[in-house]
Amino acid sequence: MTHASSAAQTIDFFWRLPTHGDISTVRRPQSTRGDWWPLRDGNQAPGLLHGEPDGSSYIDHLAQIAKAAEISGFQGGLIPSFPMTDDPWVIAAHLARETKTFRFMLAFQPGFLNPVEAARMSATLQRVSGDRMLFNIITGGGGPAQLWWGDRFAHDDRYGRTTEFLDIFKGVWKGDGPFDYDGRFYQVEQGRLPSALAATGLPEIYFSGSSDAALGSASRHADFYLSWLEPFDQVAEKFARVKERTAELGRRIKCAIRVDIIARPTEEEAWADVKAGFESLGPERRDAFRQSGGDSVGVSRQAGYRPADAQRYEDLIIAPNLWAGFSLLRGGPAIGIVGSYEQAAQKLDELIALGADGFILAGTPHLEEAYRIGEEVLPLVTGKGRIERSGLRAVG
Amino acid sequence: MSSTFYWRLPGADDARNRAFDALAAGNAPRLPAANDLRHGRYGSFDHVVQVARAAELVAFDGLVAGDEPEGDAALIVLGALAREVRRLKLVATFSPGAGSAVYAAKKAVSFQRYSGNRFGWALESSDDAARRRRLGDFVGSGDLGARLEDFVTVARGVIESAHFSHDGPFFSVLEGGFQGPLSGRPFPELTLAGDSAEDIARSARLADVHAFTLGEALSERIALLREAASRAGRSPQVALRARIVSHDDGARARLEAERAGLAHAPDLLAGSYDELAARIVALHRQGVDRFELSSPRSLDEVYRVGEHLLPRVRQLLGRKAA
Repeated sequence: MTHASSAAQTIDFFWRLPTHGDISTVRRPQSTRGDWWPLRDGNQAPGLLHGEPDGSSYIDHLAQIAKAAEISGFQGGLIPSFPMTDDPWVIAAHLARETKTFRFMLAFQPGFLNPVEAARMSATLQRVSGDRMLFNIITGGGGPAQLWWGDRFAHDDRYGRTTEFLDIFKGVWKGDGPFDYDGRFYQVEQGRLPSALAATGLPEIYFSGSSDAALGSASRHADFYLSWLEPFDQVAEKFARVKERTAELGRRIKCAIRVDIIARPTEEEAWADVKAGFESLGPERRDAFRQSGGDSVGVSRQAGYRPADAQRYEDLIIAPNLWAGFSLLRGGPAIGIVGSYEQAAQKLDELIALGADGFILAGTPHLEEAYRIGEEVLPLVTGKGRIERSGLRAVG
Repeated sequence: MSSTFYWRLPGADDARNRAFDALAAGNAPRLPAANDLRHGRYGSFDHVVQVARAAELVAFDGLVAGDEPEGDAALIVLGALAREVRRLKLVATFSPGAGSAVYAAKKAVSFQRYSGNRFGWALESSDDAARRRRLGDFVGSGDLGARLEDFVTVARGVIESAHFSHDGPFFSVLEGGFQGPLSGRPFPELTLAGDSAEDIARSARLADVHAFTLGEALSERIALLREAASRAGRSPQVALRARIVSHDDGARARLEAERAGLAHAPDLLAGSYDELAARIVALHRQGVDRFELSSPRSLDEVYRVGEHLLPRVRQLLGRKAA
């Protein structure tokens, strides 16, 4: 693998591409970029000039963010996938030729493609980009959303399917010869990627999912176990559990955290921005966040914090520099980091000491904040607390 | 009525593509005496991009990316081209066995958004059951048509309506459909192919374009399609797939075709520019609306067709130069 963390001592930093629009400032979450919201004065919707199509589109904005991330020190970015977003495969393919080092982390639910076709599409993307794609494999979520996607399998069944999917995905790509598989969900007979495609690097796999079924599947195929940020004692417990489970199977796994950051020159400025964002929310927006969705265990773990019930932003400070109200400001995980550049870097170092080997960071707006975090925070992360992992071999 | 010209991108069987793939890191250097800086930096896709740009520059109307099991995935190839080729239509070939219809539809919507509605689908599955099983597709040959229709029903449903439910034999969806900026995008222009009565009847009902391959009984096949379509009150376009080798000297064109092993290929158009222009106009008068051309020498032939053949065709059809 060309890009995999060959230096076992370094931390992998990724950014995030917002796939259903962005917000121009955390101080005013109503101020939007992209065509997902009604166009109001000051909102940016690439593609329209004086109300008329001008030949550009939201992909032009994503291209800006990807270039900002790669020039600012991020390896690449997560490309999320939800019913309302654009599609990660299409985004990655469109941006492959106009970025240089940006690695495309595609959020992907294995049930949506036949594994052999997924391998072929991935290998083509590797050829087009120079081995710059990797996966964030998602299996949970579900409930009505899963049926929206046309997917009928129950929660735990889906993890069995993910395991089979990855068995075939890897088998036709890197197997010794034509590959046979007769699973519950997938079959293949004498399958094999053509040699020019098979010569590309197998994508790294970041694996999400908090349930026992997820951990079982992750321990078999994942390179990184990816979690949203939770209170630090829970992060430590979760990472220990996944590493233990993986070790039982004779494999090693690395851990990564997906977290938003509001970092400013001083802590006061950072909290002032949180306060402004929180107080600009109308009650209807908070109500929207009260609804819990799907049968995802990760979502329930986070929903325990009830950000929508808070009266003051301070009610959601769960630890120094940790705020549990991010989901009010934009969709996604509740807990994020707030503080000065030094404090933000220190939090990341603390997480590294708890076992984090990689991060997917994000900030609002994603374009300008990619520069800011890359310039001001990443240089302050020392990585010194990193747990000694002598003898750790690359997982593959 | 006018005719349009689409170019089929070179795939795994293209000699240049194979040669550029050999530049991959890990292979032996191609130029034994040279300090070859291409090694590990270039691949066939760099050549494919040039062919695509060439087709745009010489006034083709669209590009088709094929679905060969030995080649690249069409959706990715076209995505990577879409920002370098700004005018041409982009037709991706894939099988309804490749995955979920909703997922495919969602990709199509993003493509439409990013490309200004230039995206099309050519849906095809291999007739060869063993080949399908190599691709992880175990649906029997007798069910391929029903699966294709189920796929189109679901994909069209979620693209064209905000609340779509369907429980079909192959695909299902509950309360599906795209919202906000993902709604209201046109369903990708749909190309279907095949010569059987069933294929033709299906295209009459569903396809925007039906593709035939150049060969025997073309007029009869076109007539069957037109009849079936008129019964269905529709008028899908007729596309013709052919391989082309042209030259100002017709003998040289036939020699080149012979060298490429195509001398007796039934889908071959080989000849001088004048001969081929007359042939194309005749095919157009037989009912061909769209020509879907490919060539063993893709880049060179795109230019020959664009510079020499298309102007003659336009002249014969009384159309102004592009």
